[in-house]
Amino acid sequence: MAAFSYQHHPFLLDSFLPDTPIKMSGFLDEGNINTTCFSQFYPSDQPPQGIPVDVRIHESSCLEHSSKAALSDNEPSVTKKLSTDSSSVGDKLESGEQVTQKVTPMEKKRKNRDGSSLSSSQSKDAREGKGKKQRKGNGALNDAEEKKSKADKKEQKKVPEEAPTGYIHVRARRGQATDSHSLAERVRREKISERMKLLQALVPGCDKVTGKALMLDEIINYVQSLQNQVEFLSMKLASVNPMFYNFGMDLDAFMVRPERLSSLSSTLPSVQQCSPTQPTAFADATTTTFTTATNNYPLIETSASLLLQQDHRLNPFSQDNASLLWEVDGQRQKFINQSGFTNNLRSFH
Amino acid sequence: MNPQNLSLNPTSIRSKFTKTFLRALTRINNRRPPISPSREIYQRYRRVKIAADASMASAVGSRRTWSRAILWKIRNQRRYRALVSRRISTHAMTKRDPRENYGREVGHGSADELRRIVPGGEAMDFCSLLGETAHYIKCLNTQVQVMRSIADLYST
Repeated sequence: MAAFSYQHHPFLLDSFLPDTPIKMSGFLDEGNINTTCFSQFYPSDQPPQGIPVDVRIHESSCLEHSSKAALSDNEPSVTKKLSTDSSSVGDKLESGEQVTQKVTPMEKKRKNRDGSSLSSSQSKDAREGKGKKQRKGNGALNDAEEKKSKADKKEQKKVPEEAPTGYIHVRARRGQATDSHSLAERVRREKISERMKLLQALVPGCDKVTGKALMLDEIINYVQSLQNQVEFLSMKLASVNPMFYNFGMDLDAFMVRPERLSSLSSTLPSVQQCSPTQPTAFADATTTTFTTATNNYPLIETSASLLLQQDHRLNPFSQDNASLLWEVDGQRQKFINQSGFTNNLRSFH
Repeated sequence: MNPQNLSLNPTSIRSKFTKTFLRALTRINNRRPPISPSREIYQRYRRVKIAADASMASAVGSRRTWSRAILWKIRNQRRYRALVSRRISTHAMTKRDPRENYGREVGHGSADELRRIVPGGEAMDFCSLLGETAHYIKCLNTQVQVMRSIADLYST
């Protein structure tokens, strides 16, 4: 059980750090269970995770938990529940980046519950009852009263400490519903607004409008415009390609091409970023005439990478000195003109 | 011209899309032109469009709902066309009746519209619809950029 319950409950974060030494010593007094917990936790935890601080915190928190669970050996169902929980969390934790995203809902939910329990139940009895309900799973109930009070103290401490961690947390105010349905609904709404924010960053002009409906309209417009652009571009490609198809019919025109190109690119080093994309595009057309499918792939690979590279190179150019870009463009144009027209003449007479 | 920085990230969606799309374009170019020239352009356009969609979706892979929907749509297109036409005809008659009762918190009109636009969005809940939309927008952006650069390359 100790093996899988490590890193359980990452939402108990900082608040436990000050607590742990005391607790550890307290548990150490109780016997060998805790020592086994220690021996299993520390070696397994320390090496792999890339986030040592978090691991430490989780460790400590789960140490506390596991020891509690270990103490409550008379409740097997509890340990089972713990194990499923923690194993799922551990699975999530294995994939580094996703940790924070995956864990946050749980965290929020937990926080909600805590917040609601704190604010909604004004009297101490009520909170005691709530704490009892929460802690019942850990079996702390049948151990001692002091432990319960400790748990309550923990809860009290947790809420103010976790507040500035950057998460928006939903907490039930006075008169707000605290049942699980409305809490879940609140969490869902929060998730939606989070994704809306993500979309807002993606869609230009979306940050100016307020209100979800307007934002959705903006998003819809943007997606539609993008889809129209794709259609337009594919139309363009479809209408442009037949010309190349005809070009490709002329074989010996392409045979001449390579040396001309190499001479060009050697004399004009500045053209080099742009011109090599040209021959590969032509080469695509030539391979269509050769119809050797095996030849296509390396050419396409290179042209694809060249395309990408062109895309990346052109940006700094346009920012730095547009004149150089124009010059390059002009030379490219010239190069295409002289080659393209000869092709035209050859293929059409 | 060192080949190291040519393909910046060979596993990125952009480069995967470019590769598959160029391959598909070459394959489209390989086809013999049909006899009637008026239909030819339209057919080519359809093919290029489908190739763009399919290569985008396959570059993303099957881990997204929208890409799965696109791939599915393309794979059994004929059946899908019949299905859609039937669904549209039924939809036109009983429009807006069943959806209004769901009571989505954001205006259902726009949410449904988004659902129609994003492929595969019909069966999603609103939360994952937004996530899919975000990813879809990113990929559409990439697609538009790459296709534009290809078109520039071909037309200049």
